[in-house]
Amino acid sequence: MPDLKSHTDKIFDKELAEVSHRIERMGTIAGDMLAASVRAFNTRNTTLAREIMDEDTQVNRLEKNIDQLCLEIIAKRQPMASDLRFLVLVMKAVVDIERIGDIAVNVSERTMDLSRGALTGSWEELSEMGAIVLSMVRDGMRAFVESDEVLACEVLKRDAEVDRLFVKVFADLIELMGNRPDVINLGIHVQSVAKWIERAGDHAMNLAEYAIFRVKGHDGRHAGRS
Amino acid sequence: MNVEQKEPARGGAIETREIVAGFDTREVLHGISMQIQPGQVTALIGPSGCGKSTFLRCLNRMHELVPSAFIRGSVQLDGQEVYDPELDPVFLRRRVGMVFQKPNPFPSMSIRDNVLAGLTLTNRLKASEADLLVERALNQAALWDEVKDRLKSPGMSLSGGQQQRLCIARSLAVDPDVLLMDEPCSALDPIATARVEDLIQSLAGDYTIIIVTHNMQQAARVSSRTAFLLSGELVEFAETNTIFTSPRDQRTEDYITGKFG
Repeated sequence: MPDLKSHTDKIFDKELAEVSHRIERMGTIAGDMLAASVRAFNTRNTTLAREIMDEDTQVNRLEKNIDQLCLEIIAKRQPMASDLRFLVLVMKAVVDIERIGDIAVNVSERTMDLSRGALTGSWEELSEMGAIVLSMVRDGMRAFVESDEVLACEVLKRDAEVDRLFVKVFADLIELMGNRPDVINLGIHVQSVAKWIERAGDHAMNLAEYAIFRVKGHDGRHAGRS
Repeated sequence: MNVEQKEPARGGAIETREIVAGFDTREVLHGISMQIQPGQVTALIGPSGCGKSTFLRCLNRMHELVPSAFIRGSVQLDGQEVYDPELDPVFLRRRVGMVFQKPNPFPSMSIRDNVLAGLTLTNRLKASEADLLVERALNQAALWDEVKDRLKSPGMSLSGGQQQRLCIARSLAVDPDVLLMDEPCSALDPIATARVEDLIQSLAGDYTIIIVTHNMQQAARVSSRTAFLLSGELVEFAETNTIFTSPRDQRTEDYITGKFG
């Protein structure tokens, strides 16, 4: 849970709180974009898809802005221990959040393409995947901002289900395209959407891993694979 | 952080056991046990009054020079008891040199004589031997190139940073195993500080260095192990990288992140 003890220099507390506030805001915008992009895809809502593409500039601006703020604090304060971990991890987390925003844009672009084609309807597994990934992004963000290790571990556990659904969607689409060569072009777009959403889940996993690193002080990434 | 250090070529292992020390009735250290590896740089950090300097002074028996001082426990240097009544403290202090917060060259002496000051007290040196020793010590202290053409100038004519390196050269001239440094850069500007830090790292491996510093970034830069003292107790003693990125004890975390008090 968050360290409630304050710094002797109260301005430092305010600076760290500002970083926390900004990354939370960035995460909320990117999460909302992803949610809206999945909704736009399911309903082929091109107006919504276009709005999402416009919102990406906000996320990009916040990424640069947060990086700059962290650089200034590191230069000014030479932070140590949990403060150092927090700032370094924020600078990594903004990259993942920015990528989640990009994924929402990618999904929206595919929605625009699909709206012109004959392949209609939504895939149940794809919607389910979207819902799980969305929960992972939101909870991964919350775990990071609130230093909630338990929630972060929950997020990590959800990825297996995302992977299972992704494999299912992929196989279904291959089968469909085999039977209907006329929709191959559009089927590839849907496969891309599935891949993008699965990737967003990976970025949410990164956020959860940063949360654990922030709390425990050791890097648990790639456990057993490095 | 943490420059890789050479294998020690000599002695300089220090082990303290349950050091209790203070002045009159006031106990400053409440039982400090530490094992300090030879050839490594060990940093002592902690708030003012925590006992860092007292601990440092216990290691070469300078603490006992204060009339009201007392000490119990054991300090061993390479297995030999430092507080053995048979041991001559002057001999000990040649093996365990000290550099102080404020550069303190002898005011009436030249640069050359300052370097030789510790030796001429006990040894008679030929001029040629003395020249070699002066050059070696000043080279080790990274000062030779700056002063080689004015060795007869007063030590006090040097800048603050140069004076501190002269004091380090004076300590090195007697060929110690251990160098104790009590906030050696606190009176120096950033460039002079960088020179002394660079020097500390170049001496590591050949000498055991124990540095007291209030500058935590300095401790992080120059040492391989760091000890955190608080109210006369050793709270945590670990690899410097661990102390400054993921300390185990909440009190260490609070101190190094500035949440202390």
